[in-house]
Amino acid sequence: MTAGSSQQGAAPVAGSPWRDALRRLRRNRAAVAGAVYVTLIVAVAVLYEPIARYGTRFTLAENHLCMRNQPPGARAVPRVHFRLLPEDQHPFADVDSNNDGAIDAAELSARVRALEFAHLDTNGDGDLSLPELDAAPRVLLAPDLAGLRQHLDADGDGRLELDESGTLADIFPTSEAGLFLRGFDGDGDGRLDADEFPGVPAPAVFRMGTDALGRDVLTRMVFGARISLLVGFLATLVSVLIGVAWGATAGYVGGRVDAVMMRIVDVIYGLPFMFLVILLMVVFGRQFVLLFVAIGAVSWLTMSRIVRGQVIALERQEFVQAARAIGSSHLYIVTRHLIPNALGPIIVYATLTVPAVMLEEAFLSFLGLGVQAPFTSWGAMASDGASPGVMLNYPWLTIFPGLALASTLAALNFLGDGVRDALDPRMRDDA
Amino acid sequence: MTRYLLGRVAQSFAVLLVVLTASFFVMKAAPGSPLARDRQLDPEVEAQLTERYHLDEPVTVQYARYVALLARGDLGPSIKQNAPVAEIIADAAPYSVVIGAQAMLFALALGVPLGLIAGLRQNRAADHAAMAVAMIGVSIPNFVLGPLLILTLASGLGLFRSGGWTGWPDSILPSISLGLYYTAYVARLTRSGMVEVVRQDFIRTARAKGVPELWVVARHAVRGALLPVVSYLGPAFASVLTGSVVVEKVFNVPGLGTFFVDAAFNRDYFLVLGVITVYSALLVALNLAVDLLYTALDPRVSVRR
Repeated sequence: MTAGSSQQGAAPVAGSPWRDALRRLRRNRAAVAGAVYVTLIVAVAVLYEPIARYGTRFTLAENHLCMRNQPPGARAVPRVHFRLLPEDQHPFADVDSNNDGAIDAAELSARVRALEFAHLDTNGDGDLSLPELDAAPRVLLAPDLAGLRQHLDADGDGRLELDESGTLADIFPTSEAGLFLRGFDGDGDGRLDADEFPGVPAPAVFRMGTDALGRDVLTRMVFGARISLLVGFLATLVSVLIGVAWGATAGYVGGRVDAVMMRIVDVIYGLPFMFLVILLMVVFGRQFVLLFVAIGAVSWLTMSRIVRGQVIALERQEFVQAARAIGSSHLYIVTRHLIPNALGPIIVYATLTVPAVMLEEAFLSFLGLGVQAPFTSWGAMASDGASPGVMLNYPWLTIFPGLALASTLAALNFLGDGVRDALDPRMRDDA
Repeated sequence: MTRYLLGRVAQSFAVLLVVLTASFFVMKAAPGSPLARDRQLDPEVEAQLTERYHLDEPVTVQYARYVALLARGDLGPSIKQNAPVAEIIADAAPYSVVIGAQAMLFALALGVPLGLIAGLRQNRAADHAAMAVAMIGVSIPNFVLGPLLILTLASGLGLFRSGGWTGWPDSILPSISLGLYYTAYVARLTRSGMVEVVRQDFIRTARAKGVPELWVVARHAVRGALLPVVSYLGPAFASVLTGSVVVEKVFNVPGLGTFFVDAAFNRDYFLVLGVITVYSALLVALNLAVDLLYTALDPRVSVRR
């Protein structure tokens, strides 16, 4: 608790105590590994857009309704802009059915529809049965599925074959064929020539499966990293601001004010404060700002105790008395002398607060009180898959976001411990 | 001592009242009404219900009415469930209490020895291993551990049922899921307490006198090493109570936590406040017990503060 006290003067410049601390931190292998991992996750979170575009090739809310709850490794539904052909082959001739050396929108539609039909026709009997129709995209889920099927069955043989499903063209998203084609049509002639064709991307794969709405779990986890970390850092900021202001005021003013302020901290410390947060979130809608303000507002207690202790210890030192003697204002002394010199413990505890508040965000999101659709966070994702029936059938829904959360928390904790060992001389003696 | 105790009890009541008041007004400030249902209520019925639950009165009057009700030991009726709140809580609480108590026991029974060993073997392999495990333990949220346990031990190996509650065995997995975090935390605290204590003069004196090592640890060191753990117990209880909300959801246990969240969503005022009252009362009592335990363990802490 005495870090930084060897320093006299105002702001801690990059002097030797801080350089020493950094050197000690670098020697701590677990902390370095944690720092590397956290940096990686932060990078992933920041780079969500390019990752979604070029990496996973799905976006956050993009739902593939006939691919609900698919296991990791499943191929995307043949929606034109995500998949045209099987991954490893580019059978240009197959698609170019009139053999004129180019693929036009009609050929593309036919090809895509055939692929979709084959995909929906899971038992491969050339007939879309009712259950198979039911698995088709949401638009197909007409209230009267049986009636629809009967309506489409032109030859009345009780089967729904590929050529009959043609009336479904609008329902299957083949209308996007022309749009898709334009994206790869280099010379702009409305056709895909043999040399343009290889540019067409292979089908995207759900590397970590899909959720109940057919959304890519991996893409959502990348976005979830952004929300989880953002809430973690913002809520920590809120808790540091409150904690430092409260602790510094109590410690500096002292006397009865101090006693009352710290008694309040004691009392709140033993309260089921999370219940009030739950209540707040339920009651006042789940706004993003409220989320981290509420979490931050319950996480500042320890910070205020630490800062108060520091301020009381520092206040007795000569440089503070000197500042007072030359007529510095109270505010100036607190903000320019006391808080900067207490920065070591503040940083240490703030580092350890980040995983704690991330856990709280995950906790609230798990209860359905955190971030709301279309956004998501790791906690919210884990919650999607955690109901008893879902968990056993589709374990990837909980396991992947859960492990992402746990590993990031572990990394942050290792890093925080390392920072504490490096900055806190008392702990250093122990080690 | 008696005076201190009386003061603390009075303070506990004040705390309870603050929590209750805050919750009450937050709840009342919420848009929505407990009478809002999927289908429109008959206006006559609605008027009758509004009358019965005094929903048309000013909030302050409702508040006074509720406090008066509580003072008589009545938690009021659940608006949604058509049963007294006390009855609902009495039905649900045992599940939460069993899970919470077992989680804490598990945490202490495993965490303290682990921390003691790590502290005694400071900076050796056993210490590093124990602390690495503890660090991972504090990083796994209970709602991640729960599903992992279900997938491996329950559905994988078939050792447990994967949810619901038919008897005591169904409480094991929820208790472990809830307790692991505290086990790890207690181990870390015990270790740091131990590291601090073994350097003290009285331990060196005991060793110099030729007291057997086991006796030094058991008689002299443990007491001091446990102080950080004891002071952590208060916040830990609060956190266990909140954590059980999630664990109950994962394991489909019909405990208090489940009721709390549902009731808050449904604006079932009395049920929400009832659950908060019970939780807070429990917590305040436990905190008081912890404080007394602390004074008993550490002679330096005087009762008159």
